[in-house]
Amino acid sequence: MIAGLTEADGIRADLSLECGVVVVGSGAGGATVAAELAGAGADVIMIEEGGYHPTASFTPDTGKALRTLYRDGGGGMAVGRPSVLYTEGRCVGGSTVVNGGMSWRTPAPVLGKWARQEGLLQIGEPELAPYFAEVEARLSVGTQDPETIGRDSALFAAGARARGWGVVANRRNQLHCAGTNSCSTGCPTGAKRSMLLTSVPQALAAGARLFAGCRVDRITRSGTDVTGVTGHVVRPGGRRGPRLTVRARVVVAAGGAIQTPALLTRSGLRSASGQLGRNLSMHPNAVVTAFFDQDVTGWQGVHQAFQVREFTREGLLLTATNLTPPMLAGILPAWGRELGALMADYNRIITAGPLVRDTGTGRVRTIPGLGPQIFYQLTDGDAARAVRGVELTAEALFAAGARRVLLPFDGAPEIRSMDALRRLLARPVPKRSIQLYSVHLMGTARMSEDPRRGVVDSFGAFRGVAGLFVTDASVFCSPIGINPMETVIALALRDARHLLGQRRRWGI
Amino acid sequence: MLDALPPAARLALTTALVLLDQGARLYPPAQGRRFAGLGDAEAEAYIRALMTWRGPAAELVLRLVSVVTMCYYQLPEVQREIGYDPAPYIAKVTQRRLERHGPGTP
Repeated sequence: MIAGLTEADGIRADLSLECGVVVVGSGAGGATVAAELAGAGADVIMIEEGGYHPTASFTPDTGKALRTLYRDGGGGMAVGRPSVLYTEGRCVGGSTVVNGGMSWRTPAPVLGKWARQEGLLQIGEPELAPYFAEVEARLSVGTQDPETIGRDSALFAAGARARGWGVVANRRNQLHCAGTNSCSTGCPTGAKRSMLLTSVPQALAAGARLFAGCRVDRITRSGTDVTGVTGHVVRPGGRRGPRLTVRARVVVAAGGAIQTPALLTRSGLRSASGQLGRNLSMHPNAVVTAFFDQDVTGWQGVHQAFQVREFTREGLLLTATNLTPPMLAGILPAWGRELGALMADYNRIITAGPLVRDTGTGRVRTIPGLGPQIFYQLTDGDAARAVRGVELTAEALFAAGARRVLLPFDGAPEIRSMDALRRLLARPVPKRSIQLYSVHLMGTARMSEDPRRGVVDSFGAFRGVAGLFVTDASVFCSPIGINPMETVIALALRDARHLLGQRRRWGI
Repeated sequence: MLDALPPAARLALTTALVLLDQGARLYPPAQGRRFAGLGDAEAEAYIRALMTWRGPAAELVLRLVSVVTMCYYQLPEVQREIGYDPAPYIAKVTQRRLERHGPGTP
């Protein structure tokens, strides 16, 4: 029994609650805001659609993780040519429970661009540096202990270095990570300092209340003032349970870049900017599968120990990421006996690939009966960069000793040398044939001081509805080209303190 | 995993699986049998025939095969067969972490 936590199966009848601040979502943005406000004495309620799953429940069972920790079993798909498969966390702690934990400050040029283009206040590197430092201290951000680095990461980094490329050790929110390679199924040791183990318990210890397994249907308001939220308890199979009504003076939406615009839209809220749900960036990534002569056992050792930073100016980041057997089998371009032959070499495989800082944007629309749906069209330029990223990844893998690689292009043959790859890429790769994935969703409730461009202001306040704030990756003004978690947390911390500076106004 | 899909996706997937299964009756070599009643070679030939389709139908078949494949490689005995057995490894490195950094490490 955890003080302040109420789980769905403990709610048998309709609930009506009251508080100062209700926070929708318990991930990087929501948990941070909740901990900060509760710590300052505000009466806070967090509502999380997913369940509460403690560290002791985490196992390497991919299917169980997809069922319990991810939205829609991890099977999100953005409609476009090509389609992009994406995942979102849905559990107490949000995506921080299932991400790799990469913790990087927002690049200064990105912050500079946001300040210039959107007129944002207090967003420059000097203003944000103290927040980043605080987040890094709180979440134990640092590089890996050397003994935890697996052969897949080490080989990929060696291949990149052999090409003369810049490689950096990844920084993550971990305290002596054991290297179990279980980031995506929930860290079984608790070394990953996700929100589940940091800001959520911090908020609860400060008196916040958390309702897990409860979905918010609408944000309520009276005139232009927010009045709270309504929702329901989620029963197994997605069935609706008892109703939940929370009256609050402040509502913080922190459901992520897909769910937040969907919630605002189904609540009947509109942004005069016309930008709500637009400007979605996805950092699309692709997977190159390389086969080696010797055992690599990529599942032994930490997830993504390094990043190749040589091509960041081109908007490309390269890294090796081990995939569990079900995930790998799901993306390999074969089936039946052929797939069986490929999977028999599972321990000799390294999967690696590029992450593209995309220039094109997509849109979140709510389809009646289906819920939020992403429409995303990869631009020709982004497609060309994805192909370039695949080529560079293959180059590093061949330099590391790979004998053959499979490319993420429909119908592409197996490639056994860089010469063969260059011959293949001498002809254009059809955009629709590129297999893309995403775990970074950003930008659908953009910050701007220009009301014609922004859904929220510099501190996450939603224009046109007093007392409504957004603190998640929705507020990003562009893709940032690196892992977004630390940016989300730092902005949430800054927004929470700004809100606390206005306590009297909001009565919290 | 399929339990976690939203209701519309679950319905679509179920419908697609039924169509795949019953559609085999229209495949001449199946001689009126459903997919579940075919031998390995016939079943493989049927899927190969479907894979030659173009457009959304082919995409659907591909996705179905992908889902079934994921479920197959979720089975512990199949994972052990390809050399993936993470539990003992996780136990070992967890113990190493505790020994090096102390039981108080969260």
